[in-house]
Order: sequence, then structure tokens, then C-alpha cells
Amino acid sequence: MIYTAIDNFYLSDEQLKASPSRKDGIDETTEISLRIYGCDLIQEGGILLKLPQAVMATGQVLFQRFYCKKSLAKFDVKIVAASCVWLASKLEENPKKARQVIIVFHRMECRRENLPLEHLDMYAKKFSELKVELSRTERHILKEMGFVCHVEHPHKFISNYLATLETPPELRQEAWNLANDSLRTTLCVRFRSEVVACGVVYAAARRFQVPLPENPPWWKAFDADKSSIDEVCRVLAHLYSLPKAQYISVCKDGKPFTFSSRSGNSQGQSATKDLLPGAGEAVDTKCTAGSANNDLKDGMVTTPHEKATDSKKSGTESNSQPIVGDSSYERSKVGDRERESDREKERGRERDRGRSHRGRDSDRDSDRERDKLKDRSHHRSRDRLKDSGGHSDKSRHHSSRDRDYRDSSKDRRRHH
Amino acid sequence: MGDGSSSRSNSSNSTSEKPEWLQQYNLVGKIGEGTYGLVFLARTKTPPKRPIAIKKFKQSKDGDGVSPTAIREIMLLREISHENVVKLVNVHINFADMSLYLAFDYAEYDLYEIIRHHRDKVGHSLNTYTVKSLLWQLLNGLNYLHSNWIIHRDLKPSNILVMGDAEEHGIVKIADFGLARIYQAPLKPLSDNGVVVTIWYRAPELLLGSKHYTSAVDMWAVGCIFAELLTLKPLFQGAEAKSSQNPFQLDQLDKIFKILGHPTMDKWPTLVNLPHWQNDVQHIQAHKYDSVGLHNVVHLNQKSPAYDLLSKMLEYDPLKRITASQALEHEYFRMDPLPGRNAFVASQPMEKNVNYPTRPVDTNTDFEGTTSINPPQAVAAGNVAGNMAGAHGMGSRSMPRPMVAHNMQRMQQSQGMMAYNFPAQAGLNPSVPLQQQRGMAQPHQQQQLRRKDPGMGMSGYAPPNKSRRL
Repeated sequence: MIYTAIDNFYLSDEQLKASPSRKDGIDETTEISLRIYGCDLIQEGGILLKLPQAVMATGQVLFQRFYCKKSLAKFDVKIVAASCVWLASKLEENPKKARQVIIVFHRMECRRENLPLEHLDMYAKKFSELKVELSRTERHILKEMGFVCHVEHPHKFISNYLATLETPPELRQEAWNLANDSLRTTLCVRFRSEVVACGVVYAAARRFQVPLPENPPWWKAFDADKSSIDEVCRVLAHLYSLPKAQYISVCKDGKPFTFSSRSGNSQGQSATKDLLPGAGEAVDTKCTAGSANNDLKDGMVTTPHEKATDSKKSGTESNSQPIVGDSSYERSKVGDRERESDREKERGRERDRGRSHRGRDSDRDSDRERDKLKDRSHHRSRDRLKDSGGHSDKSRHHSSRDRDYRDSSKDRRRHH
Repeated sequence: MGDGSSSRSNSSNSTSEKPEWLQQYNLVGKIGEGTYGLVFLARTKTPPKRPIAIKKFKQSKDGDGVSPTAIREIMLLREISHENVVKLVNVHINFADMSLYLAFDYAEYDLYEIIRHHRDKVGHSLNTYTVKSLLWQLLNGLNYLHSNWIIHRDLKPSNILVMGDAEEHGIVKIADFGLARIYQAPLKPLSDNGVVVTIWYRAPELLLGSKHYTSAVDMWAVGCIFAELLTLKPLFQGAEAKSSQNPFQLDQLDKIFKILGHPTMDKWPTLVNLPHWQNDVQHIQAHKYDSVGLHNVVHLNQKSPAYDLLSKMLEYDPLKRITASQALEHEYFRMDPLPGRNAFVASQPMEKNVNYPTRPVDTNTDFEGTTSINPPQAVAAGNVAGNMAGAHGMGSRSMPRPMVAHNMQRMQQSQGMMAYNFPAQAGLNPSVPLQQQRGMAQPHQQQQLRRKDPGMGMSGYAPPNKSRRL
């Protein structure tokens, strides 16, 4: 049959844990973060290229599949994301020029990594090299896919499932949002799109406290099983618990990929400064300049940031409003706890989740509010600990962003 | 033996190795060229030494990576497997110059060449058994495609190959899937690709601007091919109007209406919905058509099953047009002579077999596509020639086919080629059943030959520029 190949591109959770990136020494947290970052690039890049959503969906699936076969240490996430959205535009009958893709990804890199916005000279050597790299990576993707790039998306089934189940109309948008977010995870390479569709329908129904028939179980009519649906919900919940994904250079040869031609120079400068500890004034000047740039960029970044936050908030709400007395939900909770206890590496997160559970169990009161505040405080603290190990410049920028995040949070709370 | 010595001398002359994937082949020469690149004939070195057609997709001028046409063709051919569909053996990627090579089982003949041979050399029509067998096998392959929601959209004689290999002698292969689409649930209307199908074989609903592609457009093309097999000339030979948008193809419609008569609402209820029908009112309905009748053009008795099948294929209303599965069950295929697997030779021959000429091979063009300045060095290839003679039942050649050693030397300059062998991906990709199916795409060959014969009654035909459509 025509879709045979797609049915063969599914991996178990255990297989994913033995991914090529893991074999290259990249830990699970970093791989998850970079997968999310790459999908964010594909989504935002597709919007800037004025592509229909189907192209970004296909691009993200190809991206997830590619890193099941190739390591993040050998193929930088930025060029792979660019090639995936480029290839997807061809597959979905909306081809874009290589020049357009490079311009968009260059601009996104400058903004996300606080590089000065520069004019991209299309006749410079750097531009030619980027085009070659884009084409080369495209061929690697095609090769690893065996030139079979058929993709089915859960979106295709959501409307039919909701109509069959006769659910209220507000579930559609919620399920659609969850399906979009699921592409940032490896759900698309673990489950058939029908199963992911059932998972997001289930999560949306729980969020809006809409009962679904369980005798007989509704998911059997759509060829899905409860354990897979629970896993879809768990993976989505985990996605929403993660901090905003940042770019981390994990290149094996130590040379990070960049679309910008000045990125190398700035690194050289910073290296020089590191070698001259006595140049306090220069460092201060750099901080001031960085701060100014950051202010400018904050204005630009607000909208996409709000979008991201809204998306996460949506997920959070979905988690924070369980159906009271739902026995299946309780069973699901038990399963979650068991899974958590099995993971030693995620002790910190386990504690977080434990608190979240307690918070959810209790009625809405000041205790819950305090728990939430504690969670956020702890979360940020962990981020700061991570950053302190890196470059001081990066640390300052990050903490500055943290402050902005807090301010916007307060604003949002006041608005409520 | 000769090949071995040539290889050794070449390696001593050059410092670079032959690309790994190419070392499994012996290159013979160029057999075609077209919009997307060259087509080469090669032969596998390991037994059984079978012929391979290597189709090269060159990098586009804009440097936009792999062409969507190539991706689409490979994606579809990787999925499908049928005796009457061309078989994609391998895909090779050259990372040095970003070119792409598709290896197909080689097919010696195509319907275009067979029809031309009968028209220009033999002087009489194909025998009934051959016509029926070719048509049945074509429908058999098309039924498989349509059953898997694939419409070909470019069926014409040059894309219908016939095998010359001993094992598969006379088997039909549908080729060239660059315009094929899955139409089960397309995200965009298929008409957004612009108008496809070479104009002589284009269905009337497409000519009148229909945006709804169905498998019926392929069946109309099969009807045109059926008639061409009978009469040895294209049935509706109109001149194509060229413009950036979807132009009104007045001349092609004129050619159709002169034979089949003017379409009416009674016979074609959805006719009024077609965009160009209003144009038709002004240009064609004013004319009076004295329809000569399809039966007179193809010289078939109106009561014969052959005419019944043909007229059902050339039904105006796509909803009423016969489907591939229905056609396979038609009475025409149930009466003697019954269609056979070898379209050339019946199990109990009643007529003399026709020996068709093999494809011309250009041994002066090297694999990069440039014509060699040096004269070709003739190397004895008696075994190959002998095999070819045996396979085709032809007399021995006066001169053996030369092997160009120069080709090999130039090839060694290429580096960085990577061979992608599908069996290596057995874990994650379905392995294609190892049936001995062969074939290759032929638009390039057709284009080349038609340029050679401008005066053969095809002066109005302009090969389609596919890059513009895509």
C-alpha cells in the first residue's frame, strides 16, 4: 500500500533513548531542548516565509525523523531546521527559494542570539556557502528518509473525531493547539497520527471537563489504546513543564554553525577580552551595549514570546483542571507516579511534579498560590545555576530576559 | 576481459578513485536527454549482467536543491511495485556537485518508437495480438496505480516502455512519474500545478479548464494511445497555445470535436460548470461540425468490441468514462486472440513477428554531459553484442558496439559521490520486492528524436517545458 513506509517509521521510547545524539554524548535534556528549539525555528521561519501551516507541520515531522537517524553533534540544529522547512515547502507544493529561506533564518538567528542585525550580502562568499550547506543538508535528509517523505498529521483526524463524539465546539481549537504543540515532541515518530489525534482530543476534553463515553471506550472506535493516549498526554504535559528552549552548540568539531558572518568575529573579541582581565572598562561598555540591544529586541520579541507563553499557558490550564472524581484520571495519575519513580535522573523534576500534583489535588486557595510561586522560583533558580557555568555575558542576557519574563507574568496576573 | 584491462589502464592514469556507486556499473553511453538532464545506458558488472538506465537530475540554475519533480518521482516509485510499472533500482547522490542519479531497469523499446517503426519502415499496422497485449498490460499497470490513489497525468506513447530483456521480453512498463500525484486527499487542488498532460493526450475537461483532476484524465490518454496503436498517428493532433496562465486550447478542442462531434449538455451534464465553456460558445459552437465519426478514423466496425471499448475511453463526461478496472473486464479482452505477457510474441503465433530496432546510443558524451573531443576508442565487446543479438532475435551486427574508455577516465575526476542502496535501510524502510522488473523514463529520448525528425508530421508539436509548470 502507498503508506507502507510511514507505518514503518515508528520507534519505541526505549529506541529513542538510544538515539544517535545520545551515543555522541548529548544528554537527554539537551536533545529534548534542541528538538524543541529546531521545531520553533521551523514554525517561526514558516510564518515569516508566509507558508501554510501544513508545510511547518511536515517540516517538523521530517526534523524529528532525521534526528532519530543522525546526531545533533554532526548536523547542527539550525541548518537542519532550515533545510526541513525548505524541503517541506517543496513536498507541500509551496516551494520557496533557497535565498528566501537563508534570509529568514539569518534574521531569526540574529534576533534570538542577540547578534547585531546585519545586511546579508547575497553576493558574498558566506551566502554561497550557506546555499551549498542548505542543499547538502537537504540531500542528507532525503537520503536518511530513503526519499520517502509522506507525512500524515493528527490534524486530519481531529475534526472527524470531535464530530463523531458530539463534543462542544470549543474543544476543536484546544485540540488543534495541542496537535500543533505535539510536533515539537517525538510523538510523531512514536505513534500513528490517529493515536496522537485521540490523545489531544482526550486532553482537550479533560481541560474543558467534557465527559467522553467509556463504556464502550470511545478510543477503540478510532483504533487507539488507552496506554498510548495516556502517554500522549504525559508527553504533552512534560513539554509544557519545560523552560523556553535555547540554542546550545553541541557540534563535535567544536565549531558552531551560524548564519551570521560576524558571529565568529564577536566570539574572537570575547576570547580576547577573556585573555585581558584588566580591561574592566571594555567589559562594562560591552554590557551597556548589550543592554541597549536587549531593550530594543525586547520590544520586538514581545509578540512571539506572548504567543509561546499563551501556548504553554493553554497546556498548563489543561493540566490544572482535572475532572474531579474521574477514575480513569486517577489511574493515569498512578501510572505517572510510577513512571516518575523509575527515573533517577529527573529527581528535581520529580519533586516539581510532586508539588504540582499536591497543588492540583487541593482546592484553590492560598496554599496553591504559594506552591505555584515556589515552583516558578525554583525553576528560575535552576536556570540561573546552569547559566552561571557558562559565559558571563550570556548569563547576564539570560537573567535580563528572566526579569522581563517576571514582569510580563505580573502584568498578566494583574490583567486577570 | 577487455573491461578489466581498460579499468586498469584508467586507474594508472588517474589519482582519484571511481565513485563507489558507479563502480558496480559499466557505462555504455548516452541514450537520451531532456529538461532535467541526461539518460545513460549502463550494465551491471555482477551477474546477471543486466542493462540499467541511469537518469541524471542536474542542479537547477537557481541552486534550489533537489527538484520537487525528482523528489516526487522517487517517493512514488519507492512505494509502488508492479510488473507493469517501471522499477527504480537505486538512487545515487553526488554530494560534490549536488546531482542526483536514478537507476532504472532498462527498457529497450517504447510505444512511440514502435509506432514510428511501423509507420516508416514496416508499412502496416501492428498485429491484433500485439495491440491487445500492449493495451491490456497498460491498463493493468494503470489499474494498480489508480487503486493506490495515484494518477499519472502524463500518459503518452513515449512514456509507455516495453522490455527487450530476455526474461521480460515484451512486458509493458509505465514510466516517468514526475507529474504523478496522490489524489486521495490533496492539501491543494491538483490544478494548482498548472495544466499538465501533453496536449494531444489531454482530456477535454482539462482543456475546458476543469479544476478537478481524477483518474479519468489518464483513461482519456489511454484511449488516445489505443487509437494511435491502431492508426499509427496521433488521434487529436492539435497545436498548443502557450501563455503564462491556463490558456484556452482552441485548436486541440477543435481537433477533438471534428472527430467526436460537439459535446452537449445531455451527454455531459456538468459541461456548463467548466470555465472555458463560455469561450467555447463564442469560438466553436458557432461553427458547424460535420463529424467524420470515430469509427471512420480508426477503421473499426461500430459494432465491434474494440470500437465499443475505445468509444467508452473517449467518453466526454469524465464521470461516465470507463475506468481501468472496468476496461480490463471488457469483452474486447475476452475474445481471441487473448492478450499475453509477451506483447511481441504470442504463445501460438499467427503472424510474423516484427523485429524493432534498438535505441541509438551516443558513446561520445561522457558522464558529465560534455561531448568528448577525442575520437572514441573502440574496445571489443563481442559478448555484449552477442547477448543483445540473442535477446532480440536479430542477425549478428556488422560492427560490435564500441566501449569508450575515455568515459571512465573523466568519471574518475568526480569525488564525494555517495551511493544510497535501499536494501541497507531494510530496518526502517520497506524493501522493494526483488522482482525482475525493468524500465526507464523516456521523455528525454522522445525530445531528442523529435528534434531529429522535424518533418514527420509533428511540426505543430512543441515539447512541454516542465520546469515552467512546476
